[in-house]
Amino acid sequence: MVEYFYLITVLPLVGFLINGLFGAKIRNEKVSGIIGSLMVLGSFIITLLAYLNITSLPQESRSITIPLFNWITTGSLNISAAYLVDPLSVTMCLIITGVGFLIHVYAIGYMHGDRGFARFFAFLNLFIFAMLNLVLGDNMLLMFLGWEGVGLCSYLLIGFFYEKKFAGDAANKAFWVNRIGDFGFMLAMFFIFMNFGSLNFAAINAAIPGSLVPVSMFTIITLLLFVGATGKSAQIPLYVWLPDAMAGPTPVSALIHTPPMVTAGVYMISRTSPLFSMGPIKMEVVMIIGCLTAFMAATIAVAQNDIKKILAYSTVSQLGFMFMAMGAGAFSTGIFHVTTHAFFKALMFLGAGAVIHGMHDEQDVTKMGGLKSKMKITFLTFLMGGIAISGIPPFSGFFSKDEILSKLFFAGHYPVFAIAVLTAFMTAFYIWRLISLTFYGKPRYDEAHVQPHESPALMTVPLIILAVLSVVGGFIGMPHIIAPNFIEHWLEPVFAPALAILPEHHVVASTEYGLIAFSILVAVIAIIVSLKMFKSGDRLYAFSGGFYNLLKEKYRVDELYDKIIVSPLLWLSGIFYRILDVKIIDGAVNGTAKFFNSLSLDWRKIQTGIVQDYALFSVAGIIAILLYILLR
Amino acid sequence: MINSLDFANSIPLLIIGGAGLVVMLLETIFPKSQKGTSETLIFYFSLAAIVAAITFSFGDLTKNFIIYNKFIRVNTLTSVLNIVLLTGIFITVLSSKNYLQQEKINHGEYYSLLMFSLFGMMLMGQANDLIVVFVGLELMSICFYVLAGFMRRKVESNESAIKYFLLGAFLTGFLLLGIAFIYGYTGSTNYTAITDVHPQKDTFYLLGLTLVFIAFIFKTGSFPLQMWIPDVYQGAPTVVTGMMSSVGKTAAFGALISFFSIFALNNIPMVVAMVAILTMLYGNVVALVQSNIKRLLAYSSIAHAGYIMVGFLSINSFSIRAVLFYLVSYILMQSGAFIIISMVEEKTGDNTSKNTLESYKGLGKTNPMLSLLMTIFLFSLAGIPPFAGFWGKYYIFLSAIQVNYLWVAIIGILLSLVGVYYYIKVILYMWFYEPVGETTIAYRSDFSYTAAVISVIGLFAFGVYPDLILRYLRNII
Repeated sequence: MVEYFYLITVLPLVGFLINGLFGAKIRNEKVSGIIGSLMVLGSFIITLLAYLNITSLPQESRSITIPLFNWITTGSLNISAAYLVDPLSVTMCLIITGVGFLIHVYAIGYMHGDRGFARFFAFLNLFIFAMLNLVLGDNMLLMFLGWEGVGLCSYLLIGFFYEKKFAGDAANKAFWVNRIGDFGFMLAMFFIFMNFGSLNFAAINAAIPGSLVPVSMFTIITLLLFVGATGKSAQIPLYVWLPDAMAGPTPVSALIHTPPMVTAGVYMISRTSPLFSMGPIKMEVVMIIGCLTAFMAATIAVAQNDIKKILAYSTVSQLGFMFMAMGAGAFSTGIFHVTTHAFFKALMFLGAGAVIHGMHDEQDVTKMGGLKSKMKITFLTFLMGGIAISGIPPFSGFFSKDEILSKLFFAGHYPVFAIAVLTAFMTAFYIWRLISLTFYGKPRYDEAHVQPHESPALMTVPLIILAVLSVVGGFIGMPHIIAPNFIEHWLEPVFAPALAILPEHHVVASTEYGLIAFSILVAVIAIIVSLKMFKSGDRLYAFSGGFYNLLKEKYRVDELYDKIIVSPLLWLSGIFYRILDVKIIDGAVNGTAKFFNSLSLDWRKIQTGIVQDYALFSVAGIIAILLYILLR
Repeated sequence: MINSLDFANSIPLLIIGGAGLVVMLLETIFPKSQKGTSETLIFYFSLAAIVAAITFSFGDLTKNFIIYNKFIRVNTLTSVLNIVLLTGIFITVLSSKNYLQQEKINHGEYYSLLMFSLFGMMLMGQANDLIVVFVGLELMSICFYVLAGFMRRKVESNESAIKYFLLGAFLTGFLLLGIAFIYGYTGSTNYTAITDVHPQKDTFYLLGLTLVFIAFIFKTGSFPLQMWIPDVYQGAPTVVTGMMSSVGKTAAFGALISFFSIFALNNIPMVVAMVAILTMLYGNVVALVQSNIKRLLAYSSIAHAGYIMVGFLSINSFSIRAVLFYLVSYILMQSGAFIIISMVEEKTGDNTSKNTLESYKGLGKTNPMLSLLMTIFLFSLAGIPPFAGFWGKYYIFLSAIQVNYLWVAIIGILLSLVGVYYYIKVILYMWFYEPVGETTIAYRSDFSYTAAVISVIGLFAFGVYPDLILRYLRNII
């Protein structure tokens, strides 16, 4: 069985090739859509088999390497393309292919009638392929290939409506900002290869205990890795691309906002957790950046009116939670939150897509209202997602978020804990603002022209499945005091090396009960306040006054970056262009070209076309060689 | 004594030699009225013979024998060479059928000449005796002279043949002189016997080696014996040019590896370095101003001979692997490019082929598929990843660096940058210019397309995954 696991990635690649090469010839939405979806479903089934295969093994041997081929062999750098199938990668693959499949099905309905239907599915399949390579790669380079592939695909998909300028701009922004992170990743890879002589995860992990590499080197490597993570996972200061990324079609937003496109950073830190566990500082950096991002994004989300923007900032904020967990050494908790977040965020994005679809491309929540009765399934499923993200038990979000909070508390990071609780409050607040403005109250749109309608079954069925997952998904990670925590136990072998180095924290049962009660209370208050406030329209401005504008304009971070980074760069590039490029480089290039051209014109005269001349030239050459041999 | 084991270990040679004879007979057996039948039969028979020979060569990969009274060697190196040469001729045969028909030179002896020249090439690589090298080389060359002049009603083709013949015959004298010197010093022409003598650095022995080397400089078209290349390549029928410039050169280089893996070349590395550098310089520089595509690729083939020569700075297991890898990629991209050229050929009023760069203007708009294939071949020739040509250059220059010839590698890399200019120029013409007048394709042929696509697949597969080839080369020497 193991030898067929490579099909997990091959199937989406086949789908990409079919739709990419022949999509224009097929000219049939059904065929393209079904091929695209079936390929992902196929790899989901194989992943399930892989999961069953792994669980049948004893815990310590649950890590299978599937060698594919020797990829690069040069000097001391030997990289084989191989997949690592272990609990972590299987978990990620299950989410990617499972949620990915639902998004594919949804997209068949959503993209109906679009000119680029086959192209869209080709890109989606390629996206899945890249993601799977990212999580399955057994070395950093293959992971990086997936990492870059994911970046490329998100660029292609965000800019899918390339006729619209803002879509193109958003795609470029995503690409450039990601490049900054990628450089961090690359530098980290170079340092790792320099110090450990390998890019293979297993080899690196094996080399860490008792290695002679100085602690400062670990700090440099992990901070560079973290720079990479902030780029891909939209953390301060590189989060700015994600909210703009919703310029793409909604299924794409859903795919980008679920694993492991944006959670690639979280995954990468989990994979390299032994590196992060060596020495001080870096875990704290991860945690504090995560905390600040979570808080800042949540405050921005409160004041946004675009339904997809609210969800986008919400993702940034939730990613912050995941990084807090990573920083606190609660790796499996972070992955747990990745999982539950995948369910409810995909659900809400697709739900938002259904709303936009039904409202004829209206995205402003202040111009909606009262959709509850008109889009029943969408409303109910969205509600499930809302409850899940707010942290109401027994919905999935509650368990993962609560576990992060309790891990922070018991690790003694009280200030971070306090901010996290505040952020959790705001999360519930802005999500219920979104829900109230969209679904409750009276319609605020022009009812004569817009008749909201429920979406076709192709779109609602995935919503229902995701809603069910959002409700029950949390049971895989119950608090210890209530039930055994399945996911923590499952991921234990992966994180054992890192956890062996990090200090252990003891959980006090009574305090834990208190924390649970407290976080439920926070969520409930937020929901009640939010419902009261927004039932009859957006009354946020009246409450917050001038601060509201700052939030609405997202702290003007984009403008700040424009001023201090983009403009100076443009100015500098102008100077470089005029002096370095035009004068020095072009001069040198054109000079070289001129030199060789004149040389060429001269030398071609040797070629007279007369055989006698050729023979003479040959003899001269032969004599020269023989003389050299004789006289040496 | 020749025994049955000798036959069993030389099946590919026997198949190809026999196929040449059979093809010749087939052509005469059929009356003129059944030309179509005989042509088709010969075509498929040749292909089948080559495939069979390739299959048997794969079986010979692990052998290590000296057979036929110590005249012929069979080992990994020679079997790999045979596979490469056979594949090259396979592509040539595949792309020849419709070209020959279109040029009205579809005579059966074309295929038998190809087979005999192939027999000569394989003999050259497998030789364990200087006389066998000589016989193989001459067999190959004489077939080439005839093939170059195969369009016997055309002046350029005759010019090509006569120039090739005159200079080739001239250089044969040097080869014989070299063999005579070596014989004079060691008392034998047999490799095994010569190496038993443990020849010292005697002047006559060195002169002999150098003269043999000079003969190969000529056959590979390296400086200072490259003068014949442009004229011969321009005039010969295009598919023949593709074959001579790819398979022919590969055979010469293969024989050179096979020769110098036994006779240490280390005595004359400076000569090799100078030859390599001047060849790269001359080929790349003069190619810049060419306006005829066949001539352009002729000069480019000189440049490539220079790159390959870099691999001969020191013969060790790594450099042999590098050279063989280069030869594989070179055979694919060079013959592939010439297949496309043969299909694009524009005719003037009196039916001579123009082959100017002008006829490539706007080809991307009128014939996107052909242009795409051509672009890939040119990219690979320029050494741009992900095509095999990149790894070829990489391994060659790496092998030079490993034996402390960093400066040669640097010069080579800089000169290959000059080369990028003229390859990109053709690509530029194809994709970024408007078509001039009406570009018509000389002929359409599924066979030629197939041959080109096979080459592209090879270039891409070996470019992404070089280990596909390298794994066979691991236990050479």
